[in-house]
Amino acid sequence: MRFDSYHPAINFIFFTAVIAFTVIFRHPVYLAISYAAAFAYSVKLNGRRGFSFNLALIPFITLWTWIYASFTHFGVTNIGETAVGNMITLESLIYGVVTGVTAAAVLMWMACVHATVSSDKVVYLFGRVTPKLSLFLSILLRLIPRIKDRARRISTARRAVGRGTNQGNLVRRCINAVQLASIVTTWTMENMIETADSMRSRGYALKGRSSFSIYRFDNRDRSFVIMLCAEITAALAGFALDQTKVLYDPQIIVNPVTPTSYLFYGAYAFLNVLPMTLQLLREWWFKRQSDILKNVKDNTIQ
Amino acid sequence: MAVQADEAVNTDVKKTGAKRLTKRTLVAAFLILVIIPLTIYLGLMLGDRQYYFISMLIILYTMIPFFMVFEKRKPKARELVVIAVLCAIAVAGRAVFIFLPFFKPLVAIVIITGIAFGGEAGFLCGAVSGFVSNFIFGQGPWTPWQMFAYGIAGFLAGVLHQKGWLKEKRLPLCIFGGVVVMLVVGPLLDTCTLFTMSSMVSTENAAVVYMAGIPVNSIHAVATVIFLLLLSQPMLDKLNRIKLKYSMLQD
Repeated sequence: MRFDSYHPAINFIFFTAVIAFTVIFRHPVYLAISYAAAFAYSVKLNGRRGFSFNLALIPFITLWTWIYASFTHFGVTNIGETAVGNMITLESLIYGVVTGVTAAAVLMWMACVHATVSSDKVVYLFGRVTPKLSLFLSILLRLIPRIKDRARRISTARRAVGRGTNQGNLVRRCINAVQLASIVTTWTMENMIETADSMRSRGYALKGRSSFSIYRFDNRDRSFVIMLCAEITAALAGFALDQTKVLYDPQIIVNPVTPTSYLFYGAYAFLNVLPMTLQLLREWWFKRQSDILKNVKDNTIQ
Repeated sequence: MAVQADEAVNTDVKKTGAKRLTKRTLVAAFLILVIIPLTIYLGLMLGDRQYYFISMLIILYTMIPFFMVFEKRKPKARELVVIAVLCAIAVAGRAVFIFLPFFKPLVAIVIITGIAFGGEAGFLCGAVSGFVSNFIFGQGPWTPWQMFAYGIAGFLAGVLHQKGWLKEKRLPLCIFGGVVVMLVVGPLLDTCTLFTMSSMVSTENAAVVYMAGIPVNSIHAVATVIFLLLLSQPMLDKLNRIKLKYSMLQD
């Protein structure tokens, strides 16, 4: 039961909250929680490709920290000098790490968004706010694969008469490519005008036209959204109580860690791993069920 | 008969046009005078150096009036699909040239759309192409900036054409394309880099980022000029033919 089987609004709320908190909370503990959760979830969703992408971000964080620390010089703790004689401070070094990790965490969350929020969900969400734009988006998203397919068919036909994009000398090839683009454009336009007329005949732009969608808000979504709101409230409460406050300039000052802080850390961590935990639990449950079924089957055969 | 009906719709739109414009102006004024200062204030309250977040929100606000125009204008189905086709071509073009970094026909096609269907359609085409093509290239904090930068290119082309300052000739279009990419689209995308990468915006930082952006923007500008050189005349011929054939002529 992946996160994308939930209602699109829930996906949207979750990712907006998580990414906004990642950007706003500069506290190292919160940042570490967000980074770890994004890392784990993107690996869970994207497998080996996600893992190598996340690893590739680490050198960038290091490089960024190095650039940042050698070009900004706030802070009071001197730990060295750059080649041109400017001082490197501990504060700017740590702040460089913090901003680098923030950017990496946002990119990893974005990879999760890419894996769970498909374009039809975006169209559905937009449709609630601006129906025209959403219709436009859905026409467009369907058109792109259609144009690609059409280009492939035209290209095949033209190759057969010796006018393919890989036939002839360089100039000829360019001319062939431009002609291919021209044919695709004319064909698609004329075709879509027909679609437009058909849309009009079927009552496009009439009042009370509704859009079809496969999403409904069920009890599972309701329970999830209640949980999500509680977690977001907890995170915001932590923010209001200065739990996320940290100063980097001129000196690093973190609020003292009290038992209450652990409560807020826990709540924030729970928010971040919520979709992944649900997915893992569900997978474990399904596996158990199928094992039981398999055992029953084996026993009956014996 | 159909032509008459279309004309009736046209005049209808014109009559109500003035009222809608004021509503949009109100929303724009509200955004600029209330929401944007409030966002900046909240950003300052939130603590140090939230440029990245604030700038993204402001860019999103800026786009709202443009999209409102589209929503309120009740575009005709034919116009809608033709703009959708142009967007699809822009996106497909960006995907076809995936192996050449920054060498993309997207801005050229957006400019052609602006010329053929006006500034609002140009903005829509640019913004939506930026958004949709990122389903292929990957969404990120840069998406709103790209949407806005490409949209503005189309909007400027359309508005300057409507004012009669930009002719439908190959040479002026190429010059306009190159200038707009170097001076508007490129710097906007550089500003995105500046706000995303550096949490402290200083003159030196800004100078470094904008200088580093010049080669990239030059490639982008050259690509736009080449594609305008190749595509503008045939594409505009096609679009004018379509407009004439299906009576989508604007006055």
